[in-house]
Amino acid sequence: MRRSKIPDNKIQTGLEQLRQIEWLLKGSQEGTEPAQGKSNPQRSYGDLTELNRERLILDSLGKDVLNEVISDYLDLLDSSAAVYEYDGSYASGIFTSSWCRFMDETSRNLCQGDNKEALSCGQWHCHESCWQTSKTSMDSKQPADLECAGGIRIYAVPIFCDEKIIGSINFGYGDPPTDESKLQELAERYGVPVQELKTRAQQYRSRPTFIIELAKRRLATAAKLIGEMVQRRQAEERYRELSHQLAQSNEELKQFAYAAAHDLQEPLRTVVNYVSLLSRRYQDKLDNKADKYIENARQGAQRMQALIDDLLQYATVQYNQGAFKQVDLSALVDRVSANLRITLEQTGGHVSRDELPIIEAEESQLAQVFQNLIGNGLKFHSSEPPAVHVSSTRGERQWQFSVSDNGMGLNMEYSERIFALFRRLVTSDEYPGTGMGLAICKKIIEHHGGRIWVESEPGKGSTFFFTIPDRTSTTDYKNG
Amino acid sequence: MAEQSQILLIEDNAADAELTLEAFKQSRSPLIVNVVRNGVEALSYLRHEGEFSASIPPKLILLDLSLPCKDGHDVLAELKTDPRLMSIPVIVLTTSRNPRDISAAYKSHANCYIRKPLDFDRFLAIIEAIESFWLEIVELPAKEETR
Repeated sequence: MRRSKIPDNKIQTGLEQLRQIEWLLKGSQEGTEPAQGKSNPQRSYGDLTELNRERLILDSLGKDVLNEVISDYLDLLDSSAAVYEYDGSYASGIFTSSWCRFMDETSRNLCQGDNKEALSCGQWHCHESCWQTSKTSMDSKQPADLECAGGIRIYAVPIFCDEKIIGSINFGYGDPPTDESKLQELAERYGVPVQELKTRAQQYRSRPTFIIELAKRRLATAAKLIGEMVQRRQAEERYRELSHQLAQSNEELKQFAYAAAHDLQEPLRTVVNYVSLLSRRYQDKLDNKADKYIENARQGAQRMQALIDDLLQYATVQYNQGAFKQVDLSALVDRVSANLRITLEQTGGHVSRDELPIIEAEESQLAQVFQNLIGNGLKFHSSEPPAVHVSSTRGERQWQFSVSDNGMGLNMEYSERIFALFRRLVTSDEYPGTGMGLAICKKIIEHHGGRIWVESEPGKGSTFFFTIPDRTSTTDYKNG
Repeated sequence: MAEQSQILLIEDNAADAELTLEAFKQSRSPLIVNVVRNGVEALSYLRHEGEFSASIPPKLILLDLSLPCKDGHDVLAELKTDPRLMSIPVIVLTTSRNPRDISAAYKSHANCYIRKPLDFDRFLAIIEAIESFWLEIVELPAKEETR
């Protein structure tokens, strides 16, 4: 390239613009290795990232992704780049220019021992400058721009993750020195002939300023990107840890419920069975009162048993996405109605339904919901034979179901209370039950991501509504 | 006269054991039910060790799961890996409804898993069913000569 002898600003600006155009036309310079694609460039002394003990950045992004991030700005330059962890460990290091590679390897050869010893001996000049610039950027929390031992400059920016500095990323830039005294000084420091340096310096083709400025901006973006990726990785790990803990504590709770139910049931069984044995063996030898007492004891124990069963069921209702599958609700409601056959016969009741959809849910849990709601509709009937109707409507992102009856209805003042554990609005003598059926329904529906409520008026029947999110329309989410 | 069928009941709860004995009293065929109170005793009994040196090998084993020390699962695992004992049918009879217990029992080759019902009539029906199925319908291996 021909240099103008006239130090005229206009000529300088024109020259710079010309260089820009030339750069854009020619793209990558001769005698350089593009960083792109060289994901694992080999140095003669091996891979420094193997010594990384911190591994936060390295493990969060992985070698390949880190090298891609670096390549993105290093393609603009022809030099070197490094990513440091907070403790100075190398997360990545790439050299593309023959100048930087030569200087780095030469200074490495000034050091004795393995890489670990070499890094701490202070004679690995290129490493020392590189790390010092990054350390300065971390200490000052600002970009650092320092001259390096190898005669060019290094620009470093700190990497923030959640406002905390976790490392630094840098690159080398600028023309190798051309003046005699500077080259002489370098030759002495690195222990190489000055002529060798001169040749290599001449091979280097200068970068226009705008390219360096662009690279600096890209470096800042790269630092942000790395910080965000580390943060995301940490959040993912935290999420995994928490879901693991949750699954564990759910399982513990479940096992506790089974053990408690078992241990409560054992003595209860003894009571019930011996009372039965007593009544069998001494049926006619005792008076009517005794028979009544025995019957009361038996009923009490049976109620206790029902409570334990329902408590166990309530405690073991858990969110288990894995158990979700396609459920044909029409068939399910028919099955539930068949189970309630005895109640239907006793009450002269009738269950009807509209055509119901196929939805994604946990089948046994949903069967429990319909069983409880339809069962309630039959149980709390008015003077008329009970009639229960099940229907569904499609919302934008969910299904809404309703189970309505022509029963005794309830005062809306208590419409929230009925879904609480053990809450009953009528005595168990009149209407047997544990007061847990609706609480179980509520828990199941909430585990399915829906909600349940009632609309009613005393003497005019009740309608229970519940919603279930439509998972079939969000396939991606389901598979995630 | 038909040979008396021996049954071994492994049950730590005395009241429960007595109830099972009561239920077997209704039995049509002659039965002898021996009761041991824990897993260690059960294995000694079956291996004719110590105080059980004269024990008669049972045709059927009824096993409760909640036993002190060596629990029902441990006893089951030992029984079903002992070549001399593995062919004796083991009926798990327990109050536990934990799916884990059920699955573990079958994985250890329990012959069946029955939950003790709350109701005595139901319990009688179950004992009767066990008797008619395991001692009348089913063909069991001939008693091997014990050394």
